[in-house]
Amino acid sequence: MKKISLKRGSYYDSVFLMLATRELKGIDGVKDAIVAMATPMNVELLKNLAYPEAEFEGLGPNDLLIAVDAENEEKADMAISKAYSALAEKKTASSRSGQTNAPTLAAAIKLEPEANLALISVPSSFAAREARKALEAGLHTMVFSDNVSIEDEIALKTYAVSKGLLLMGPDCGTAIINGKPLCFANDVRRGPIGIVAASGTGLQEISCLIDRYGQGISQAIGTGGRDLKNPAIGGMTSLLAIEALAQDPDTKVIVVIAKPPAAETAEKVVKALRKSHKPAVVHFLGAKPGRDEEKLAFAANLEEAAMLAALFAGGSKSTEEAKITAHSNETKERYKLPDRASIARLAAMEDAKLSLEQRWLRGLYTGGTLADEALFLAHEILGGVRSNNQTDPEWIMEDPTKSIGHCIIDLGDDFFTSGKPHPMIDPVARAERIDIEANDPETAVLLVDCVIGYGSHEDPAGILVPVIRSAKAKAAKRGGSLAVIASVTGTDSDPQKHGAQAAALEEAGAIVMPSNYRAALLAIEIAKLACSGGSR
Amino acid sequence: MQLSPIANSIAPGREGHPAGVAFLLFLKGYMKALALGCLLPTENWVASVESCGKRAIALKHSDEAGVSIVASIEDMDSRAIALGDCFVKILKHVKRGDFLTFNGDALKNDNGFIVYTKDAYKWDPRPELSLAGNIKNKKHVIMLIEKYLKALCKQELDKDGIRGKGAFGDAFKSLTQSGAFPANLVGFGPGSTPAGDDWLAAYLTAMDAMLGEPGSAERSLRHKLRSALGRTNFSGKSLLMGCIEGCPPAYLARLALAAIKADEEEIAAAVKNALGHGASSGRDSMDGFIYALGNENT
Repeated sequence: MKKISLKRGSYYDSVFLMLATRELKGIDGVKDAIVAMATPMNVELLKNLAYPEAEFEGLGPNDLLIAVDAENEEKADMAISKAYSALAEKKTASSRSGQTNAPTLAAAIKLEPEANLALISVPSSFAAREARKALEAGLHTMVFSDNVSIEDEIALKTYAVSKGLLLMGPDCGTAIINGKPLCFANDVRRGPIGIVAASGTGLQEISCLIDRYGQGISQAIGTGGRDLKNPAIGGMTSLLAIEALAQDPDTKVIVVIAKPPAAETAEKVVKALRKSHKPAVVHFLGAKPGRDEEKLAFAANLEEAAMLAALFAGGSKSTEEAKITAHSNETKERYKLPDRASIARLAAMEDAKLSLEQRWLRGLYTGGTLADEALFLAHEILGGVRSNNQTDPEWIMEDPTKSIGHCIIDLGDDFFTSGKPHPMIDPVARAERIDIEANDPETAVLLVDCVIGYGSHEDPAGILVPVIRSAKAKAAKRGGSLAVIASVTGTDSDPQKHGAQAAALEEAGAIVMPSNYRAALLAIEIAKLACSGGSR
Repeated sequence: MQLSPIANSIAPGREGHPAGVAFLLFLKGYMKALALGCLLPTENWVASVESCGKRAIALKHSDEAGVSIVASIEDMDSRAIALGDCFVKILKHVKRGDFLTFNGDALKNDNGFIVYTKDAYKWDPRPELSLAGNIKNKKHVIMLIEKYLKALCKQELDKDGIRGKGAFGDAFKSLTQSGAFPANLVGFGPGSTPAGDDWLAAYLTAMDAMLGEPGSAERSLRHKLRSALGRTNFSGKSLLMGCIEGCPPAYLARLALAAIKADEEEIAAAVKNALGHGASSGRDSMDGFIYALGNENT
């Protein structure tokens, strides 16, 4: 019984074909078997061996044929079926991939010898040692762990730079490498904008806004908060990252975000960006923007940084052109950004509902950089805001658990997270704090962030909704109203979905602004009106 | 032989690169090709991934001939792209059924995997083969090749092939008696590259090496083979396309150079290297090589 079976457009390596042939031949009742490519010569051979000719019609040299000469049809079918099982197994094995756990870094490297990046998230006392091992193994290294000493950071970064490797961190919570979100990061589209950030939620906010503006990220490299700030570190990782993005043909625009660096480090950063010959956008939070150059734009806030980067990526030829476009009414409409006049109108409407004793802005943040952005803006406009993140020593909160006057609090600060999960992972602590602020009859406006994406809580808005409702009800019971202003940092591709989170917050009575910057502006405007008596 | 030292000198590794392009390429999963085969199509093209192996990834180009992505220069052929140490990374990025596009500067897929080819060294064994001279002591070379084949071959795998006593072995004997031999071997036999194509590739390489002019011997046969390329599959087609132009794969070039030098140690190494190719490709090619050297007419 001679039988032929075909698999069109199939290609298997020689060893496999030979072993498959031998295996079929070894089956009881199979007299001969051939597994080969259906070239005309091989088809001719099978015809000569009296295999049924009708089977060969339409065959091409890139098709696979399985020919079996067996004692009977049953045996032939069994052999062919076995051949297909072997082929399927081969295919599955070749495409199989998955996650493997390894108890040590060395074991992980052994399991994945082609890996090029290690992510270190271990208790801080072990972090430097593990990072060193990873660097010695030639891996780019992201250190999520915090509380690594400055000395260790300098030593690790010096070593990393000497090997041409990136050491992201310590205390680096966000990166997007090759489209892969690492730690706290968002699912943003890929594109021509590279980000170097010494600020985690700053990176998230900018990357998400860029995504919303229709552009995408080539690489987003976190550096760790001290990289630019500490003169002894001198921006080692940031400078290497800028150089990398400068060399990267897929990166057309470079964005740098950080808290104000040491002066000489800032100069190095600017020089490196100039040297890249690529359009660049710099935003140093809390610092006055530097002087714009033709292709080097200093942004005043995270939103502007994202927009300028998107405009450069979209074809703006100069900083001047990008800034004119960014601030034109047409652009605002395009990006659906409420302008200052709209914000003032919204603020007045909210202020009108407040009682006379309601005066203070209370910002309760889970994201440190987002808190900073709101803080620096509020401190400048309102003339004095207390915070655990304050750089103005007079306004540092003595006790971050108690709010006095205008306050913007970073609930992700070590003060709150020692021995507890970060509020982006578990927002319950923030919900409790909202309840406390709601009990204060002087609270006029509540400003909150809602950071979604990988690593974050599965439904942070879901945690906020009942407490916002409750807070608003308490204010209403006292004869006033509580303005709740929020922004959602994330995209609709994130697991929690930006749209769904924003809708839930709005349903609870919050005003959801399109960026943290706009949310802060609105909250500050309401607080300003509330303090001055406003329209009441 | 110059091929390996060149590979070593430009192979990217984790050590020794200046910061900049190299480390970024490494970070991104980007790869920089070490070498491009001299007959690799240079215009924009698309190819499908047909198989992913530990040493090579087989692509089928839209011209119905193969293109290979290989790890080592030792595995190069005229339509291959060598990646060196980065090869292992590619297996994470591509799988059978994917499509890769080439734009002259880079080979990429939709998942962000990119191999930059712009600065790659153009691999072409012909200048070295041409300068090496020609095979003078054919009998001595045959004796050495056979000696090492005997020592190194896994005989048990031969019985289903063109030397065996099965259907392919019988048919091969019959084909050798035909007046159309050896052109009638195109696309014949077992293997992902049909054994007949391996045989012919080595035959042409040996004929060229005896003449000392790559691509010059057996003009009539070359003409016949060109017109018969449609009778084999994509991998056989690319192999023969190279050999017709006097540009054999690296393992055959190495054997030819060793044969020209008639150096026993180099022949032993070249035979061993050739036998590492495919299940039977290396062995089948040795037959073609020996046949060419032993043929009285040559």
